[in-house]
Amino acid sequence: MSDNGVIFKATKDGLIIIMNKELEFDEIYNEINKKLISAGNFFKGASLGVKYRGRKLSEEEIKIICELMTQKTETTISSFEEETNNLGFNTDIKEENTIKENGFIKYDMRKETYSNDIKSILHSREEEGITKFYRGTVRSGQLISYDGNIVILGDVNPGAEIQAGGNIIVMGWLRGTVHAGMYGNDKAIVASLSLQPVQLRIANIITRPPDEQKYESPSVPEIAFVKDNMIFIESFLPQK
Amino acid sequence: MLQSIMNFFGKTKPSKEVAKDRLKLVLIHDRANVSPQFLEMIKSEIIKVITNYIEIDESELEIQLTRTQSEDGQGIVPALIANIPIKNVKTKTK
Amino acid sequence: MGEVIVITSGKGGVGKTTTTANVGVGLAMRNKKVALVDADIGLRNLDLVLGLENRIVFDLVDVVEGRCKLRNALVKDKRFDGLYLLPAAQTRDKTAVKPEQMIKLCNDLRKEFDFVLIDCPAGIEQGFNNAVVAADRAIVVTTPEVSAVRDADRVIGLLEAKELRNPRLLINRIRNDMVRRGEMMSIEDVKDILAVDIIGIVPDDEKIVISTNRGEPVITDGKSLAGQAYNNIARRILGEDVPLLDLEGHDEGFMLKLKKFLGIKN
Repeated sequence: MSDNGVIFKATKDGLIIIMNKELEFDEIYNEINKKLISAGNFFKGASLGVKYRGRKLSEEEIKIICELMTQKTETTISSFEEETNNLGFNTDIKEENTIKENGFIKYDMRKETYSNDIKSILHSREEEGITKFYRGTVRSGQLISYDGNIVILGDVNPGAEIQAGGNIIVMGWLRGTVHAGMYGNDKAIVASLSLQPVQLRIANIITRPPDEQKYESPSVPEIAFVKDNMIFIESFLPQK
Repeated sequence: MLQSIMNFFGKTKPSKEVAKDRLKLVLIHDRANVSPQFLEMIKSEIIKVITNYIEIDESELEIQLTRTQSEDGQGIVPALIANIPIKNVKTKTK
Repeated sequence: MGEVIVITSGKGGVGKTTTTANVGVGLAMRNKKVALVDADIGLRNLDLVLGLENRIVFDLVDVVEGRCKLRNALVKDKRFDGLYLLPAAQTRDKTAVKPEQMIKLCNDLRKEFDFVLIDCPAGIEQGFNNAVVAADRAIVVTTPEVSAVRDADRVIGLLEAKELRNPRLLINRIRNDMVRRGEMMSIEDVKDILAVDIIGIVPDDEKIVISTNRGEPVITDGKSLAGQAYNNIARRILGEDVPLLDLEGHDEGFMLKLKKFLGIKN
């Protein structure tokens, strides 16, 4: 994942600290300290819900880390607990529907009619965070930006821009430019009843429709998501 | 050329000529930066002076900037034209 | 050092953006390095005319506000090497850019490109000032209509006041059949009124609408009359002496034949 012993992962609910289980607590402490310094004012004034995983922490250790964080970043720690589900990770969830065959993991199509990828997206979202609802047509030159998710009850016209820290759902035509997971969350998705964006971005990945004039996107609701650093688009209705 | 012959036979002026005439007039105003307020100022000043000598119909007084043939016939020059209907010449002068 | 040319008009809808796109392509076709700058912040359209709308990541405002490098905001054209677009921001307005920033931007572009063409917004407010502030030359686009000619005159006056002497006139959307009937001002009529040199005339051509629909500048269609007209303009910018396009004979009607027969010149 990374050669660092500690990884910070921002979610809409707060922060996840992923620790390398090989490291001693002292080393963990130093890594967290370094990370907090490099984050600068990013967390300043925020109230953070912190979850950790990768390693067990004692009450004492939790207390030490909490103190360090409050002191270094001027944040309030609203909670600090071990992460129990694998929120933000979808790899494990597929397991229940997969069977191992000759050493290969194979998806069991009989159990679900959703594709592997969409299923994992749908299943990995138990806590989604705050959402902004916008009713009406978003027209050219309008920008809707929100740290959480955005739901548009209307169309998004060419020249309009939607930016969300989380997911973007358009209950209408999507013909503008959208950026989901704008702070780097590549688990974010974009879904629309008709997905025909000028440009679609998830996290740091940018895609646009092909140049061929004859290209026409199918008139079914679709979902865009990131897999292997590429944006994939699929129908999100169960496949027949 | 053909157009002028047609005009001769009583056809109305072609619209491009109308366009040119109107443009030339409006551009004189634009270029001289003469605003209607400016003309109003001139108008009120003129009225003030003239009414000392002549009784005029102030409501009918018209002032406009236009173009006219210059004195020496060398071309067109901008001109201020005032149309001042006189009601009565005052006999008493100051 | 490259040259900065602003394409302006005062009145909207006379063809500034189409002109910028086509002249830009025309220069790039002649192996010049060209940057097209859309200065119409809030109402960007040059990207659409060029068919580059879905490649935009950063824009002019991102550059002047330091969110990205100029190099990263320039969108490379998909057909011509050496042609780049600096798109306008769509979700901001004209006040997002200051004249000093525009001068800096143009000076940076000048170092990299042979020509920098600026597509000026309609109007004579801040957007206009930003667009013309760094220009070395100006092309004023007009159509043979009273409103467009009047606005062109106003703009020429403003350009001269800003020391942009001798702007060149481009007369767009000429309909020769109407000119012949005396129902549209001719090139000479417009030239007489505005008293500036003409850099080109472009006939009204339905191919412009078609090419704009497709996002392919009409100049790439060598057979179209408008395409030829833009080619001529590009050549004149490069200093060639090219006669104005002969619009006669392309829609030769009975009256014209009669006049030619009688030896009458229009």
